[in-house]
Amino acid sequence: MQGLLKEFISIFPGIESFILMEPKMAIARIILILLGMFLCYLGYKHILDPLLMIPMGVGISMVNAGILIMPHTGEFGTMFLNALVETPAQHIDAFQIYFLQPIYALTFSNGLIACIVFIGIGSITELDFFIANPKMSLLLAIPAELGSILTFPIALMFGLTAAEAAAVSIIGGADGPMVLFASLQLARHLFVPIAIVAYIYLSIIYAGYPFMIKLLIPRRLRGVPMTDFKVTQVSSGEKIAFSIVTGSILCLLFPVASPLFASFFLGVIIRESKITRFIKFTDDVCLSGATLFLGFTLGCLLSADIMVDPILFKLIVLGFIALFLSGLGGIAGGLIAYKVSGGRINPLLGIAGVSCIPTTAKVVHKCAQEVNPQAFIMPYAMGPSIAGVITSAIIAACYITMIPQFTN
Amino acid sequence: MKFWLALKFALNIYIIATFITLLVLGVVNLIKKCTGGRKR
Repeated sequence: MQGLLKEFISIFPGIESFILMEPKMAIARIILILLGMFLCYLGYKHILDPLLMIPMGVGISMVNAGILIMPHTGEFGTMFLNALVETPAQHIDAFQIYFLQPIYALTFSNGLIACIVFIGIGSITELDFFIANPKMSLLLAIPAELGSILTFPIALMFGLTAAEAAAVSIIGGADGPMVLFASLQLARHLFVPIAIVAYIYLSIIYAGYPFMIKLLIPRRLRGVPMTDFKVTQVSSGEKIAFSIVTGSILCLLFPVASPLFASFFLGVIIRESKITRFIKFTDDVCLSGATLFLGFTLGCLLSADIMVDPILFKLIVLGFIALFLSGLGGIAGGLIAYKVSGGRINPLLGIAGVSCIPTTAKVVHKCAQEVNPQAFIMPYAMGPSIAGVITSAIIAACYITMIPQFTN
Repeated sequence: MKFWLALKFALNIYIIATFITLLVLGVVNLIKKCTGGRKR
């Protein structure tokens, strides 16, 4: 009878693999399958960002359900991708078997996927308020990087190496592609858990930061309408000149992070040059396609062995600390700006400096509207938000360049 | 000891990043000055 049952189960390799693997791995698989479904549901309900959470949730659920004993190796694996291939011959073999292998090998290993997302972000970024009020935008973005800085020593205390600590600290910059790029450069072996933790937290920002705002910024300050500030229109020529000069200077200073700078400013220049065909391509194809495959591939990389690795818990805690400290720094910066400007600047703008464009700008606009329906601060919030992208990239570049010196 | 060293290193990065941010600010102001900072 038992032999018959065994034979019956062997018809379904996914179920058979559950029985053959260690119990703790089997439990982790079940948890991940349920987690994927839950993320998908949260994305569908727009509680978390659906653009990422739906493909990521589908990936997590289905990759953990579809585990089998691979006929050619005799080990557990999936038909999705194999992240462990190293030699060129293994790569060629893997291309024939795993359907996501080309995407992973050609766009993740070298950070190309992050750069494609950055081209797309650049092409939808409106620089008007940033260029019109650069001082306010950039000075608000600096304190909002507090999490990227203070998480580094905390992460070292958690037992991470300097490169791993720097990679997880970048979560404080609240910029998904930046986290992906930096973790690929600094701690390649941890890029999957770091990127997944970062993207889940970044999706939660929309729900989490309003609580922080309401707790730490008095109600009367949240409704400052900023009518004293005029949104001046900036010419395309100025925006293109800014992009090409700043991009070149940043590439000169930090060649290791030049792919990110080049991608972002290329997107901005395409937008400002009004090349309709390129704009359509970067927005519709690059950004949408890269976001879809980024979420799906990251989900497919989240296997049970990552789930049972104790480092995941540390990354979850550190990711929270990084974003919490950045939010705190942003609020402090906003309150200082409010005081210094004699009450003309809405302190909510500080939290818009935590990058995560355009989510934080939307969050602060919503919070201001709740208190004062006349407070249309969205255009003003976009300035610090864009400055946040630039400062996050600068800090990520500093870490990538200087970590070898710290290690020595 | 390790914590304070790491904090010092991180603060150094913060200072460098702040300087570069101010450099970016200088670039924006320079471009605005060159183009006459048109306003409508």
